[in-house]
Amino acid sequence: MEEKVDMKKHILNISKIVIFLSICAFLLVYISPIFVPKNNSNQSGIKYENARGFYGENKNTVDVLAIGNSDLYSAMNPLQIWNEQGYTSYVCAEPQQSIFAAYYMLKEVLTCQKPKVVILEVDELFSKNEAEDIDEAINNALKYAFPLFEYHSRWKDLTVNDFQDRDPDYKTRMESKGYIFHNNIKSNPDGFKYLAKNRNASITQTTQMYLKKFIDLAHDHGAEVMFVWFPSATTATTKRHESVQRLSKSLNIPFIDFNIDQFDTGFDWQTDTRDGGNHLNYSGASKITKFLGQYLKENYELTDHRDNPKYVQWNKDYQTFMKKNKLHY
Amino acid sequence: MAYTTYVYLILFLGSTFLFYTVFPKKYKWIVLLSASYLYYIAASRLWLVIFILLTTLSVYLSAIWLNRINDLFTSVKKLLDRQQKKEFKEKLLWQKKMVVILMLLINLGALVFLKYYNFFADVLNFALFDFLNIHIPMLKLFLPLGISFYTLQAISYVIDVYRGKYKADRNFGRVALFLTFFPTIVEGPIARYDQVAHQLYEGHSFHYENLTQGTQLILWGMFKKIVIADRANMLVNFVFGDYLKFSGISVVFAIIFYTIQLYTEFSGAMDIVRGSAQIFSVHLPDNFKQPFFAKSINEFWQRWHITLGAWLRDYVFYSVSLSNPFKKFNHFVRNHCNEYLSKLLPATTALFFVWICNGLWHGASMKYVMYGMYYYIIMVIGMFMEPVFYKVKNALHINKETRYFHIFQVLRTVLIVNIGMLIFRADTLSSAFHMFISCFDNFNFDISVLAHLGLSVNDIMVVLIGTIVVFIVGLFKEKGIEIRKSIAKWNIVPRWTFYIVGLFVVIIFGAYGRGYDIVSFIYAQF
Repeated sequence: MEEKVDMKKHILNISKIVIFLSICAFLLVYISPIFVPKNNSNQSGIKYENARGFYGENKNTVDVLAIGNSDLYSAMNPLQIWNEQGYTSYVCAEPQQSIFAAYYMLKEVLTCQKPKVVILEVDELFSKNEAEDIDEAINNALKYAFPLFEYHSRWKDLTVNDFQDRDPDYKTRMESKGYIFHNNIKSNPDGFKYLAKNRNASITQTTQMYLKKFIDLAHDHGAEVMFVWFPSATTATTKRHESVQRLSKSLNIPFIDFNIDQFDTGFDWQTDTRDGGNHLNYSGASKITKFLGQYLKENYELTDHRDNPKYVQWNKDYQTFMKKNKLHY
Repeated sequence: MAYTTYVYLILFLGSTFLFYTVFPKKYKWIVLLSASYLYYIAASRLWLVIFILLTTLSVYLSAIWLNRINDLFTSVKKLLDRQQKKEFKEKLLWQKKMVVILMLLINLGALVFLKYYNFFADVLNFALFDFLNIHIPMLKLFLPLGISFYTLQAISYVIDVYRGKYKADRNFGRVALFLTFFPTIVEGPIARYDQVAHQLYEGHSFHYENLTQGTQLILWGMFKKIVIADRANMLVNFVFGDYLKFSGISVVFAIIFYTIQLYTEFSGAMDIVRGSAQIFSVHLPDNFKQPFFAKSINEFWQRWHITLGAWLRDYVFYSVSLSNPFKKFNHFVRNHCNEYLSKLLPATTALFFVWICNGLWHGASMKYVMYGMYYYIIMVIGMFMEPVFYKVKNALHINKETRYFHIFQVLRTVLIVNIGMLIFRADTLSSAFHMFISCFDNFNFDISVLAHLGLSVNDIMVVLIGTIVVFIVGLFKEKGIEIRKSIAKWNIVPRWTFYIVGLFVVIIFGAYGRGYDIVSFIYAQF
């Protein structure tokens, strides 16, 4: 009899917990749209608007999508590829991006674009430890499910409009297509010596799990995946290269590592970095982008849209970018 | 794996609770012990587990050894005459002392070597290099997670057995769990064996009230840590990080904000820790009892980091006071000094060891030594000047029992504590001194400078409102009213509304995510 009462009590208590958590989840879903920026720009509350400019491109017009951290937005210039090869690309790169953020970024891009190739900048595969990766994975999953976790700090900037108009209108276009221009030189005198350094070269299980999810998601949407590691004197090592190489072989994903092989691009650490080896400058990006653009053209079916009137805006953006940065074209 | 992370709160704590609930009562302790070691490895390095294992093994064996000596005396004493008994007892006492010394050598030795080697080497190099031309090399040492906390717990267990407070535990699992219990391993509280070991081991069935109350305590801790402390940290870092640029009220604000930060962070961490334990129906000792309502520094330290203060009292103050050299000193003072001095000198001498240990426990640097000495000197002045203060109060007809006098005492304590916090937070002693002096430079009451100290006006308002909420909750506690218990009696609709609002306040106003730095727990570094 007592056991029955106990069981009843337990069921009642567990029901209470489930109801309480359901109310919380409902409120999170209901409140989140208030906090979501209503425009994909900095002023509206988007932290890295360059990475979110893909919303502003015409639907399904981005051929190549690149996702990664600051190494990527310093090294790959979609407008140069456009000018040289004629297909479109976009760089969705954010500082210190993780593979977990990359996965949800890809999910977001696929809501409005249908890329043929997805490039993953593999520098972000190396993290501190398993526990931190799991934390970061939960963090990103929560932010995706309940954007309040991402945009909660907007409580300072909320206006009446945020409460009235709950649907965002993401149309802002980024002329630079995610690339961030830097023209200064601060050379890396040690060149490629960094490759011999002893850095943790293991890739955690959680990262590997999300990497597979990332690849599956791209494949499910008809995109091929490619791994790229742009020159980075602060993170890349030969052992890390080998780790990615093993992974790329097992997953059957092509991998280009510019740290190991510069493919006659003429890349030079004396002139092609803006901060002593951490990031490339415009000169470095031009050399790397030239090779990458050519490589993609040769290995994937990418159409030249330069004469297509639907893509006229790309020509304008290219000219604006060159003029704005005082570059010859 | 900090206590405020998703991986801890959702995955680790959640799954440990589920396993704990479904395991049979007899084996629940195994879930806690496995989780504790898993936590230790995840939050630290695998090989550093060796140190906590060594401590566990050494105190387990030492305590059993002490037990055997005690048992030997009990079994043999009936067969001995008075003189033999006395001699045998002395012999055994010496053996017991040797066991304790060996245990201290292993455990304090590891702590002193890993935490203080470089500090002492630096001091010796500075002091002796010119005379002896010897240079002691610096070493790159890893500090095992929680060593400052679990070492004190380990020592307290063995000394309690030595003193006969309780018998040694023959259950290795229980001793191991007492030392490694995952909520307490990083920042304490420094629990005693007889307070928690049996609670941890006995296994508790699912208890709805403990689960909900524990969760509420965690939420309250999260409010203190991520809404107030982590936000205040931005202003504190801004000023302390570039202190030469600031003077007057800006520095005063930074010091006050640091006091708010440290209190809300440490007490918030303790709420999360105690809440985590309560989920498993384990009740840990409290580390804070509204310290900013204290009327004296002595009282402040009875309310702030209570378990450290109590440990130092029981194992440093009493050990020094009861030691043979100190007894001789006491005797000497009583014979050669007047009543006033013979009362104060022994007490203040024993207190010196307490405060030097307190300072050094916080960190291996002269700054922390001075932090301890600061409080020691204030207490000693207070003790020596007590007759003078008494006379002054009488001469001025001050009634000590009035509310105004109490407020004055509280404010005086807060002022002294804030200066202590300045020493604690400043990078070096000289920067603390510089900042203290700069408080009086260009001083005015223009509070608009607050808006230019690295924190927006909105954020400052959140810190201040949050602090007022913490103050009000403390005020009720002082009056014996537990707000949490009062709320628990409310109807379900207002009660749940209150909890949901609390949760959303933490989610919305928490200083986390983009634009905010992740702030490690300050006491986790000790």
